[in-house]
Amino acid sequence: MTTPAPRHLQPSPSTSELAISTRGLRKTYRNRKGRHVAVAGLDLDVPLGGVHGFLGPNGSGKTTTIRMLLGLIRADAGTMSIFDREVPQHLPEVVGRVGAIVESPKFFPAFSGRKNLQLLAEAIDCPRSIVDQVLEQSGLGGRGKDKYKTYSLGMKQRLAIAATLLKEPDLLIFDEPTNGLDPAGIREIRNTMRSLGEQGKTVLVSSHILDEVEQVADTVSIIGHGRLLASGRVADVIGDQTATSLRVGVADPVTAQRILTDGGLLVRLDGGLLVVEGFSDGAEITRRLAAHDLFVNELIPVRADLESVFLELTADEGLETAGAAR
Amino acid sequence: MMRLTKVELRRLFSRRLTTVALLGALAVTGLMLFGAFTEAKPLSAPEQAAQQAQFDQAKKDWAVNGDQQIQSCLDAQAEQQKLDPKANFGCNQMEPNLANWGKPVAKFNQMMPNILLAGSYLLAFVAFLVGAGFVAAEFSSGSMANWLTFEPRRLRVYVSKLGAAGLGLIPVAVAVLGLLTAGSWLIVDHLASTAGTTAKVWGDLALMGGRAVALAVAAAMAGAAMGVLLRHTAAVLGIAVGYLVLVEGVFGQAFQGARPWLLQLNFNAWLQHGATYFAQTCKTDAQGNYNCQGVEKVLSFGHGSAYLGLLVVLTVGLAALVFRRRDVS
Repeated sequence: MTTPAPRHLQPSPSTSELAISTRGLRKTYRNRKGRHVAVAGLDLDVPLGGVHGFLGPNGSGKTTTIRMLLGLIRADAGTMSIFDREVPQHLPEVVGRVGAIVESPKFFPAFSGRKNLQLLAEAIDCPRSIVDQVLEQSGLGGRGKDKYKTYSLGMKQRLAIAATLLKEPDLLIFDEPTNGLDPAGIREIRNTMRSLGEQGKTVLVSSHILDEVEQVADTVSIIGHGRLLASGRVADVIGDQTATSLRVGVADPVTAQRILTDGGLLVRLDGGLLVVEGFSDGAEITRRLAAHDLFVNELIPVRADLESVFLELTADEGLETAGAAR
Repeated sequence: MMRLTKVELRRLFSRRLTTVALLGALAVTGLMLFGAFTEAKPLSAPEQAAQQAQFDQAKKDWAVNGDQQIQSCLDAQAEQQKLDPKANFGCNQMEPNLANWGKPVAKFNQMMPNILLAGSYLLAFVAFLVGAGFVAAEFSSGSMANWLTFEPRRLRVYVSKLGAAGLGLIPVAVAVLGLLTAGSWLIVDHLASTAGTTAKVWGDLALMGGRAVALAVAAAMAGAAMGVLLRHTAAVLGIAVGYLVLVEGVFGQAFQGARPWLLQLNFNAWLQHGATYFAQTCKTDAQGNYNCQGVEKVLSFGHGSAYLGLLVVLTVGLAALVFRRRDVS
């Protein structure tokens, strides 16, 4: 199988403008059933500041990549850097600037939320007063004394975010942060990520939920089978992959279809509406139809979403995309 | 490094397993002191009267049958000496003696080494359990990964965890051994005899106590290292119990000559500054008879020290290598 070149939809930034950079990153797991290539030569660039979505279906290598960046697992090949420092060799130099939640939050279940944070704060020589501060910030002020094992999933997630804030980090890595949360929890986490991005921090959020990335991310990298498929600004990635179209409502759609088709547009009927493919100039449609006394009563621009982008990008790869469905 | 070790010490003593294990150790210490009390307690007046009556009856029997019993003993001894010229049946010590009837007076200097030995076994078990649970729980709960995102230098993390396990057990071991010693002294002094507890005896007991504390530290570190290797407390305990039953129990009994290479005897050799054990020596004599004899052998303090030291170093070293390289999920 040939490897398609990833689509970079903006000029490559210099390394000093990157929070994270990987080149040729590889990781293969070996077990009794054989070898499984989790990450296959990944080139990833995460720009400084803002929220960067790290999108891919389940099993595409997102968590493995994050674990390698954090030094939890060893890469087989390739290079990685965080804030221009090669990791894992120089990870201790930058780890104080990096807060991370990898998959589900994991703390000592028999200790209270506060105790868990106090231990972490002491480990990195933070003043203990910051613990109450971050508990308040993350909405756990009243439940800090309760044992971690009594927390709901949303509270666990909030505690994990509080833990990342102990370091006052410049880079936050959230791996599938909304998994298992209720709608209110999801909205809260998304707002937190957006807010952190707006404060100038770099937020890397991995997700298999396209809608989530679309809502919170400024830029995105899409991976499949451990390789980069596309990267760039969210709007650019969408725009590059699928031309926008228009849905048009008129009193006589059959005549309108003929007029527009004669004018060189690709038009099809969808129920009582016309769908003009690959054309986004609504004013031109209105002008052409009005010239034939056909007046538009409905004009809906149809924007491509990340789901369709992902399906298109991975169509050649034969990837399982069921996990990407909302 | 010190900061990390202090954090780990705080965590160690915040754990429920640590609390439960320490309370358990305290309870067993209480039981051991009760055992010392039972051993030191003199016979009650009715028991003493019963013993005296039995002794009087034996004296009467001896006056009638003593000569005949001595002769029978000498005959049997002579028969045995044909096979073993050194055979001695103690025929000249058969006369009833009141000291053999009553309960001997317990002496502190004789009781205490055994109590310390038992206390050391208790401490080593508790230390191993606490050390294993302390580290293995981090792997099984997944919090190790979280910890490493705060301190990625694995060797530091490893040393701080093992260091905390070892250091944390020192006050516990000192307290348990101190309690055992003080409690036993009070009991024996009140009920039996502390005569003969010279400065040398105290010195030997102090050295033995020191070795017991060192052993507890080593057991805690070995337990923590095993926790790193196996990542589940239950797995560590399973291996430990399996070893004790199969290797020390079954194999050790079946092949007594292998005992110098098993843990328990080296454990005793370290604690008691040398240990004795019996091994069967079998041979065919000139007449073609196949005879086996139990021969007392000595395992030196040096052997015990080297064996245990090497075992701990290998376990801790192997776990360090594995922890440095292993993927943490």
